[in-house]
Amino acid sequence: MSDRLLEGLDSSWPKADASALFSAWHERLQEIEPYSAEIAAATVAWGQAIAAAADPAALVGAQSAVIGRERGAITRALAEVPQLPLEQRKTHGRALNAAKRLLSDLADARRAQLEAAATSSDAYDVTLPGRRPWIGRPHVLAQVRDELLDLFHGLGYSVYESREVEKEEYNFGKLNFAPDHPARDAHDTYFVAPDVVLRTHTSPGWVRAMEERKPPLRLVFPGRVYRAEQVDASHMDQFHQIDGLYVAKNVSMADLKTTLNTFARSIYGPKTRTRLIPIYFPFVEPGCQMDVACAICDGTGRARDDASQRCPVCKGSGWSELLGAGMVHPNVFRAVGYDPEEWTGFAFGMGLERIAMARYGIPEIRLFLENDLRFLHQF
Amino acid sequence: MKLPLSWLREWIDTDAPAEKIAEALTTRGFYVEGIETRGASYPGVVVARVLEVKKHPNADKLSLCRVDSGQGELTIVCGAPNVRAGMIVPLATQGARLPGGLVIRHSRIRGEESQGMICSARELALSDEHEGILDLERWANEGGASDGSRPAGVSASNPAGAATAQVTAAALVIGRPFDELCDPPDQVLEVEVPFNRPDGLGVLGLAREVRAALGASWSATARTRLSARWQGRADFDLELEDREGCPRYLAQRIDGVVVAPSPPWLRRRLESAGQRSINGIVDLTNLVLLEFGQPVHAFDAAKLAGNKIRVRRAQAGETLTTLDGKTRTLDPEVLVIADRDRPVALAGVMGGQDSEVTETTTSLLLECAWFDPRRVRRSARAVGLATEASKRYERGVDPEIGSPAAARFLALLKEICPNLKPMAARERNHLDGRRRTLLLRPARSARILGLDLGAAESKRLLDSLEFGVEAGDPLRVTVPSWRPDITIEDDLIEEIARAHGYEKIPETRLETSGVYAVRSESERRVARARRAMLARGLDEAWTPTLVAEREAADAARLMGESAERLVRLVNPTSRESEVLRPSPVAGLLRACAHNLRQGAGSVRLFEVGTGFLKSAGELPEEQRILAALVAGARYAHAHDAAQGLLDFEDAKGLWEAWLEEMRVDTPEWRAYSADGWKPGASAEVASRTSRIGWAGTLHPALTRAWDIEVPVHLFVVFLDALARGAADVRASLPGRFPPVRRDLAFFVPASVTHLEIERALSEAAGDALASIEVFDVYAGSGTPEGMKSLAYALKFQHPERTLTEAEVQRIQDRMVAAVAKERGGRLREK
Repeated sequence: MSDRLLEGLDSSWPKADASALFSAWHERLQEIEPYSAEIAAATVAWGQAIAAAADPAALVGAQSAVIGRERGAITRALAEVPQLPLEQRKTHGRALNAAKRLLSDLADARRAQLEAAATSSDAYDVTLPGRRPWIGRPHVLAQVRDELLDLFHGLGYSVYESREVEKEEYNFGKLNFAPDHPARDAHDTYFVAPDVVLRTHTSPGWVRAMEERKPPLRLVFPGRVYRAEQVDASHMDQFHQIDGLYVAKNVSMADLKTTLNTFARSIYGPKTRTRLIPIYFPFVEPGCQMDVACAICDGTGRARDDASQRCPVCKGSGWSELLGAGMVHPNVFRAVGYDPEEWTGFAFGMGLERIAMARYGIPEIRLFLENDLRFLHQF
Repeated sequence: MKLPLSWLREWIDTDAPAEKIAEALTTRGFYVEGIETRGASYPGVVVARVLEVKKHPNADKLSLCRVDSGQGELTIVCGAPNVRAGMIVPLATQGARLPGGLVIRHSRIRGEESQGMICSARELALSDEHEGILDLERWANEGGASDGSRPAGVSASNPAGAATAQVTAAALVIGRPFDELCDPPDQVLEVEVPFNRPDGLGVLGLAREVRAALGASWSATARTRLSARWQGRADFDLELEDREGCPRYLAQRIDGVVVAPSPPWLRRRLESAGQRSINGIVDLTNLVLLEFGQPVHAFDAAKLAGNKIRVRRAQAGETLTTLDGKTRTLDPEVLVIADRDRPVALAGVMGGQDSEVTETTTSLLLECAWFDPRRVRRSARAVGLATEASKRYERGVDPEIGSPAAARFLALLKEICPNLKPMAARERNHLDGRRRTLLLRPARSARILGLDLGAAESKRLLDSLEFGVEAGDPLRVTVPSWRPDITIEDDLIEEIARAHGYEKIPETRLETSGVYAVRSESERRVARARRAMLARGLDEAWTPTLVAEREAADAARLMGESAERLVRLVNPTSRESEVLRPSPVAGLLRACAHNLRQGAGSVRLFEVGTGFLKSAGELPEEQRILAALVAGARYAHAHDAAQGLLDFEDAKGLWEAWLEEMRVDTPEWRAYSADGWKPGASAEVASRTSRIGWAGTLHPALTRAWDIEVPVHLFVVFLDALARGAADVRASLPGRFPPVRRDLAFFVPASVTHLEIERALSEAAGDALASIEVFDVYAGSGTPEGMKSLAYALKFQHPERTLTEAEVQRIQDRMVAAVAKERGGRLREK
């Protein structure tokens, strides 16, 4: 019996005192001894091996040799208990089960001890930075544009994209800029051929869209536009606009005002104050400009730190220009074959750079296309 | 346009403050950009006499002065070297507030009491002079302010235009408030005048708007000026040969003229409106222009040959030296004023130098005309000039204001030159003279504005702007002569809205009208392309469309395009931006070089943008292109062997992952060599046999030319071409039966590519091959001469049953045989 209980125990394995590892060892061993001194002795022998297992592999080896599900010495002895004489069945069964539980608990204790030791020796300096992949950031103008397009999407506007190099007729003529009209002077124009220009605004898109589609329609026109200007801190010859256009049976200026206010409150907050003032664009009549209360001075027109000085951003007016808008001019409708008596519509247009500069306090318009990483990474 | 409020108040009776007037103009479409205060007031500053000057006992550079302030003697400590007994000076007494905000208090300076301050010109904001205190007697003798910016009469500007008295020694009464020697401060509005409102380029036009907005009335002066009419003889030899270009012209000869500096009030008035004073005559022409918006010109009549005026087109090759000293060669597009022999002015644009008014001029020819806006614009364009006159004529001068304007000029001239004699004159007028009439349907107004104001209110609003309105439906509206911008019914609707106030337009509920927002396929594709690049850790760049020739040429080369297809600007503003980019690569390289120069160690950028190339059609081809470049470190951070410089395979992995995220159907990479790319490290990328782009490492010679010293890996794809190669998504059931894994390593000839082996293996294996992945590539010791080793991890799986060992072995044997037969490879023994 005792030989079989020790089968698989290698005498060359190191030995250690199990009680030093497992405080309840003696107490639990006494649950076995009254039933079988033999089993208690084998338990002590296996316990020495388990307590001394040098690493997780040795521990698994010793553990499975004694209480492994198929080949463990005690497991097999338990399997043979039914064949024992009746008077031994009860005592041996109890002793073997107690031994199995004890050795299993001991192995758990040894495993925990080994893991604790391993962790402390392979410890990372958690303050060191990790192996970090790169982060990609959307361009600040893309962020602003996408936010605005989302907003207009919610108001029912689909995106319409059109050419950047345009026929002069689409950039001016069909938008009611009369030939030889001084209004063209406001658009310093780049030419690539005598009648071919870089669009000076995104409004040629309206003409393209209306020529292509039947009303009603509700569209936004994001894109890059060009003006032949000398570049400085506040002027770029390439910048970005979003135009909007809504044409239906009875669109009115009141609808325009509602739309623009909804828009302004969405990007600047529900308490934003706005005002609508007249302005001239050839392609709308009546024309208007929407201003929002200056975000820097909160519409007071006074400098924050010195109320006797004018606010440097709005120059004392208390307002900053947000966008231009108006009711589509009947001549524009005629140019695309819409009947101005049947259809009415409004349009609006805004500059992305202006909105981004106001929102983030960006001091120079040139920064947008320079792509300095130290700038791009701020947004 | 600068609008001095003192000038505005000559025209309308209002005491509204500047802010209210500015608000009225702004909300009616004349944006007031700023309010400037000219001049200052000097509470507590008086004229004083220095009685005695002693040295300050405790300071070398200070003096102790006894000063008569008119209210008793004061002791003043003064630091100016020019102070002397007997001098008459401006004295800031206790409580005085100076223009800079300084408030004067009694103080002790180095132990001596000072009961005020003797002021320099700079301390009074009169000039920048700070060399010493202001000697009022000298100042008076010089006629006031030394730099002309702050003239000083004893009274305010004289509304009647009479010359004001200068500050004289007699005015320097001791104890007199200094304010009495100076003009009261004036406020000047900076008004942005819309292109369609030429009337706003005159004080009169702005006064009309302010009057309507505030409900003010015209002043008596205004009524007098507006009802004045020019009267003159009809004996001057004047012919309008181009009646279309010049339908109305008034010529008036005046003798007995003396050309002298303008009186202070005139100088001051022009300066406050932003004009430099030249001489009395020129200043008066400018005054009339600024007041009525009607340009008038004064010729030296003695310099006009034949004593006659012809208004005609220039003959080709005729020349004229204009007032700016430039000699201009003219063509028949240009309308000129000519005398008997030659052009003497560019009509409506600029006068000629030869007939300029000078100090020796004694006789004038006054011109007050109406030129056709388009003709003036063409003339101005033809000679490349834009002047205050041409700006007004181009936009449309009031055709009815000429007579009051000429009358006003002559009245003012009479004040400057009391001995003038009106001589020969003539006015020719071929203008129709009838005002435009339009019909206005109140119903359309309500429909456009979303606000029904009714016929009566519409009439009232139009009346306030001096439109003539006949009641009825529609209303019959006569447009004032100064409003060339009002040509259609909708223009009247805007007038009604302006007069009513845009702020009173109500808000409504937003209607859908049956149109809903959709996102197009191409919009979603671009969004996905950007997201997929951001996910690879590339920053999004927005680079310029307009780039330098060299930059565009490099970008074109990398796409295999010649520089001939580049689209160039006809009128570039700089060499840095004269060509339209053929792809965003030009800007990305510029940004890459910039960032490396600024010390960045790594640059990872992409852009989705338009590329432009010439096409056979009228308009260039515009392609939507995604370009990306990476250079520098593999990781944002790593402090072990994993870190290193990105190489071709790192970059290719990024592009492959991107292509997979874009669902490109089995993209194919083919070795590619072209100018600009590094040999052996570039590829073209195709999908379903059509090329969608290129990828690879840039040639070191190219990057060096951009001052880039690290390897740059580039990727360029046509997003529309890529859309055509996108895979259709069809779902399939994942295999449920256990997979079998095998590794196979082959020696293959060095020239054979991975793709060839992979294809041979896949075809030989058939459907049972669930995946294949190369896991090792090796050439060197241990490999036979001319061979390399490629090792593949294979996974076999059958959709409907478990594969047996024998089956897998048979498939594997077929694969080995195929590699041997098709590509000359053999299985590498263990």
